[in-house]
Amino acid sequence: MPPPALPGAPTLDTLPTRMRVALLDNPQADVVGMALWVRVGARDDPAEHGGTAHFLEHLLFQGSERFGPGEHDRRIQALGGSTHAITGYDATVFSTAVAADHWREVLELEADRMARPRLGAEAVDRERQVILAELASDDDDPWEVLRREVDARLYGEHPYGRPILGTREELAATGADELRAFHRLHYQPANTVLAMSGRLPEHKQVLTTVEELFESGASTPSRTPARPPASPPPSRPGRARVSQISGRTARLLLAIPAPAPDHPDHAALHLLSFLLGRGRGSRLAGALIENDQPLCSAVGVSLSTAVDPGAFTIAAEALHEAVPERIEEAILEALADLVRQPPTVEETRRAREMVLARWTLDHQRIADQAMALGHEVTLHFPGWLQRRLEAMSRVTPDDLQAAAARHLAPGSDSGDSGGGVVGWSRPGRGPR
Amino acid sequence: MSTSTSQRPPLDVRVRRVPGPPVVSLRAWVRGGARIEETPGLALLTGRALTGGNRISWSAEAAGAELVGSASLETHGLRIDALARHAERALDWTAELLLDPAFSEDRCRRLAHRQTAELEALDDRPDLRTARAFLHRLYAPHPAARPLPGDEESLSRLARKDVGEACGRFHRRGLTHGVVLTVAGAIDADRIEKRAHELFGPALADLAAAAPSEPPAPPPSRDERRTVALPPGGQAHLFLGRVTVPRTHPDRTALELLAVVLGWGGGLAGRLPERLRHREALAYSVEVRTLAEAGLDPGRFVVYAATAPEHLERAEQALREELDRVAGGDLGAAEIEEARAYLLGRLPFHFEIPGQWAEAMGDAALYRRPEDDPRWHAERLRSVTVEEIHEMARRHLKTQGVSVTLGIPGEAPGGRPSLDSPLNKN
Repeated sequence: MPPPALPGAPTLDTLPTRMRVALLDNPQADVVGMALWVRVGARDDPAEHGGTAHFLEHLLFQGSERFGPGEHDRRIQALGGSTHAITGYDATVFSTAVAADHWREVLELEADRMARPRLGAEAVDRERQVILAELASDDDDPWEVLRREVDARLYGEHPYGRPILGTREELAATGADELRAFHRLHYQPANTVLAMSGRLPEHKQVLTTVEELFESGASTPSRTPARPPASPPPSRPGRARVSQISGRTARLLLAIPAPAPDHPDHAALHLLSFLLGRGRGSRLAGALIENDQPLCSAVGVSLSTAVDPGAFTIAAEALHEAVPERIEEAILEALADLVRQPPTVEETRRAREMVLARWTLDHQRIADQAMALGHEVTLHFPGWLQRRLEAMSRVTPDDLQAAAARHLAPGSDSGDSGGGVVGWSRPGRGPR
Repeated sequence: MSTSTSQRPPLDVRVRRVPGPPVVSLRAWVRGGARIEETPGLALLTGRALTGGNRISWSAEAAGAELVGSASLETHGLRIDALARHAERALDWTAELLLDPAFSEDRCRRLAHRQTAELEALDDRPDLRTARAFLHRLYAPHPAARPLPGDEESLSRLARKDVGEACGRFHRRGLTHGVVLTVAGAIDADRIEKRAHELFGPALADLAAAAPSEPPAPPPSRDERRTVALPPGGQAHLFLGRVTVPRTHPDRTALELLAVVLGWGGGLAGRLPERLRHREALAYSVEVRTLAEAGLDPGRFVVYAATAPEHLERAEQALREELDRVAGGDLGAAEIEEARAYLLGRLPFHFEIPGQWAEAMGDAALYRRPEDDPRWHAERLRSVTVEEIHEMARRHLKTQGVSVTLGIPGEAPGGRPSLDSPLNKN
């Protein structure tokens, strides 16, 4: 069977100010999904001002020259739409899904807040308090606390090791001036991709409208800010360890350096994440859960798809009586087994079927199609997604073994990232 | 759609072709659920155990399908999402698992053990720990008071002996109450419906329909306030609310509109987030619902906010002020029309993918309403009047008489549960 694909043929146009517009006409539903990708994220935070990209994302909901605080959300809501934003390390995305008839109204709102957000001192102070509350919420999640510490050790000076929200001290040090400067530098048309999917109007009409709305008053030519190469993660033999005391349940997070998505092994590693950790038939489910002496109640495996080299991560929640060392041993043994011999043809086919089916299931919605389209254009290149799916459909058992040997072997060094980090969060002693 | 009834347990089969991505979603629900379980946690345990041994699970995974067993207050059963070309196989798997299940003692015991571990893990989240306490106080002694996985004591009791047999009995009892089977996707609907009847009809024909169960007694209304001690550090968590109405109640539509006015929806609009987050920066998380988990039994009006402990009193006061304002009639027609426009505008998004259709068709069968008809939803949203909405606000939103549970980070290491906590074993 051919690999799945986005429905239809996307188009990509570049406007005079170098803003790019990716369109996917898909009349499967009478709706439109929009994803406005700005190529700025936590990795671009100025020194001593971690959390700036995320802070600015919050403020873009606090009004613009035309619309007051909260009015963006109210107007979208009145159109029956839903809106969301997320700041990652490599990009910030503003997404909206709305009935197809209202596409122009949403674009008007987006264009206005992108170009002319309100960044006054009062709004900044208020939103800082909200973000501090968000930080506190993250602290309530034991997995989030563990992940932050593991990432900090894994990535060292690389920006992926910094918290996206920043620290309390950095937030206190970031004010309206820093945010305005950051906005001017990064929120440029040349640094922006608008992706739309759904029942779209005629192609030319969309482009003309985008050009009219997003470019009025824009400085021409806009430019993409330079993004200096980030420090590579530390290279060290073996694995580092971090440990926390928290809660009633022991949690393990094992993060192994993994190559970037453009590496030839990335597709195979993605399949390995499913082979190891997805479903009852996965290797780790068999080793840790589905046997007569289970050690864990849950296990999951994931692979970073960030722009720079990331991590292959294994997460497990221990049963109360399980010996933590045995869980680690079982996981490392499962990895070693993959290095020693290739998986069977059947196991490989199962992983491949799961990966490709999962992709189809995850991209049913118009809004998800717009996100995927924007992601590939902003962070990779047009056609990247299809190339990736095709690569995954061709992976063989030998490819899987080779990728495991190069990147997942205990003590392996994948060139610039070292052996990884083992993080444990364990219950404290004493009454619960 | 077709329904077979008589003195056999009802079998409700609903199949719909949904053009678009090559996907099929199948839902098979056995009626009963946690409402009729003898031991807390048994319904969910039975649902999970339905996925059986390895053979079908591995076949499903090899086809890239996702097979999940689960339960709710009203049902237990199976969920399959797969590529459309596996639709008939998915139906075959479902029939085998539902009609000829194997509840091995070992596997069921392991699942019970895992359910206990999940409860412990959830307890590490202060918001969820507080939520449990809130629900318990709000609904007790109704089954909705307890978490679906049960509690440590009930699971330990189940795991002690014959747990597989207990699951088998519960499942068979559920079958006598009836089965709802829904399938939606890029499929040949007629063929799938015919096959569904061939597979399920004869098996259910051998069973005698159960007499309808007595519904659980409705929860009493409670005006009370309690505190849950949480581990030190972190935020305070506030839950405030009351029981409202079941899904089929005439107040439902007005309550859905009020939820949007207050802040439920796809963004940060609404009275409560505007006050607590935008204006006063007291909280990052503010959530509100007016019909949470409304089904055959009443849902709940609930407001949740997480805030710094030193802001807790102000946050509660702000929430109460806004709610009492709305309940007192401070609610303009324009605001109501915006809420109505939002809900109408969302309808295409509730019926976008096969999984949503399969769930909606299941709801239509369970609640005997056209929950799977977008036009019906549009009509009921359009027909509710401003006066009715004001009346519902008066009836359900005033804060006098609400139940409040506060989770407050404590000073003692480990955060002992409070004396009246349901987490205590005594």
